Amino acid sequence: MSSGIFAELLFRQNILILERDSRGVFRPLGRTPDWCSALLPPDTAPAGSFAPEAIFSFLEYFLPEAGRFWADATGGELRSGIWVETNPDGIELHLAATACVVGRKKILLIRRLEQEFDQLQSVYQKGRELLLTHERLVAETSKKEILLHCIIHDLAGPLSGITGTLQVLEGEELTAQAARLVELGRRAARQQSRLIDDLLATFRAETGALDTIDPDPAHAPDAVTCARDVLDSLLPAFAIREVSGRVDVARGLPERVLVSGEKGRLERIFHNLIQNALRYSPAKGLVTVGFQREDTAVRITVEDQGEGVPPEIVPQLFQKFVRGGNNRGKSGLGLYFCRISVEQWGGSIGCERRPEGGTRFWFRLNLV
Amino acid sequence: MIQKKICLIGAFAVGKTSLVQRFVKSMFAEKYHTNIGVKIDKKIVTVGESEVTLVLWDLVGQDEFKAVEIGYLRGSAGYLLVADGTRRATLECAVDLHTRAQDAIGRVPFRLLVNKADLAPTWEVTDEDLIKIAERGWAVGRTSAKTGDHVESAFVSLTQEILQAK
Repeated sequence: MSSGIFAELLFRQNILILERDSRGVFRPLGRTPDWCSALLPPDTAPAGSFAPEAIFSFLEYFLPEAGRFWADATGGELRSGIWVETNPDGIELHLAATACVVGRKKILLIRRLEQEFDQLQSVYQKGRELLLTHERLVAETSKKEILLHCIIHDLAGPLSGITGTLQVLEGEELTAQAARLVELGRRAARQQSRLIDDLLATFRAETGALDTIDPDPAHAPDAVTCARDVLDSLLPAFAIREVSGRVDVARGLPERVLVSGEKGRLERIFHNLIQNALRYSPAKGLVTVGFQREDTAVRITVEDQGEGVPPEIVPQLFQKFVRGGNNRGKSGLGLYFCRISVEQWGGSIGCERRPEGGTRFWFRLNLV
Repeated sequence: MIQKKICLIGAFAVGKTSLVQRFVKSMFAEKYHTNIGVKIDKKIVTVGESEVTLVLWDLVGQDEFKAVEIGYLRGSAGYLLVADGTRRATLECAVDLHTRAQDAIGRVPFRLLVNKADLAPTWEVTDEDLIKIAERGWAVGRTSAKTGDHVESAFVSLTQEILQAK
């Protein structure tokens, strides 16, 4: 096929063909496509030569790269990104350039993209509109969570009044039936108070991501002391269910196991995990809180001797609002709170079935 | 005539193309129309006694699909970092792009334009954010491509600084 036919084919593809000579100047080959005839200087076709970067500003960026390509070319081609220039009539031209070597000729092709550009643009447009919608939804959700926090906070106010009133009533001379009703009322108030505490603690953990660790090592909590304190506070509940609790500290750990974290929230993590273990423990069972050193971290485990967590729910356990079948009255935020707190402190958390039966929750925190 | 290349860089949908359209053509389109390559426009401005042709390179916005091709800044006399006041993350993106731009082309004059000033009541970017950035010695402007507020002055003041830095 003759070079004339090739040039005609490229012309029909809206491609401007330029040949670069040894002096680095360009001259058009073949016919000039309509889209660029108004851009080229009048004396260029067919024998005239010119600097294309004077017409297409983008080529100031591309031609140095193309020059290196032509100097080293061992085959293939070098393609530019898409660029947009406006012609003297105010029409936007979507263009792309290709540098290649044909025979010994250094060729620069400049192509006007039409449908191809429209299709690509449409894909990006849709993708970015979806991203913007997603960003807006996230921002809206965040505002609603703050509103929810305010509502929950307001709900907590009257609750202390109810609890106080019931406490005063308890001190009165009541019939057995009335005393039972007062006790029921107090129990319901305590349960609601716990739910509100869970919700507020989770909200604080989610929104306080940047200031969760006190950098002063003197304020680092001792994880073993936290665990013991929590276990002690739960002793009455352990006694009622006839379950024992124990803390095991393996060798290799310092006397005080100081960890990255915040005392109040660490205690809440222990509270959630130990209470969870207690809930699933059989009568006469044992809940063990263990501490083992792992390099510069401590691995903390909370084990029970219950039936063991079903493997299929493990991946969702630490998600928000996930509740097992035996969790009526719970917020579904306890384990979620544990995860976001531990992760904010640079640690990790997980859960597994124990081969000997029961469940093992574990989390890893950096030693200070 | 003096010719200077100025690049506009920033996250996607912050209004880079709209700022150029406002500056070059005094136009504004309400509908978001994404750019997928480099859009090049020119405008002649008069600064003092000099006439300067500004060659404006509006680079595709940064997002999950595309990173800004920082090599396109090569040969720039200055650049405009653009953020969207209603989207705080775009300010962080602008700060990151500034670091990349400096690594690529060294210290040249630049401005941070926080766009969409017409939507000021819904801004996530706060005065404190901008004060902190200005404390680094950055020139910061609040622009609105929609109303044209501070658009012309942003381009002209950058051009002045470029000419002084020559």
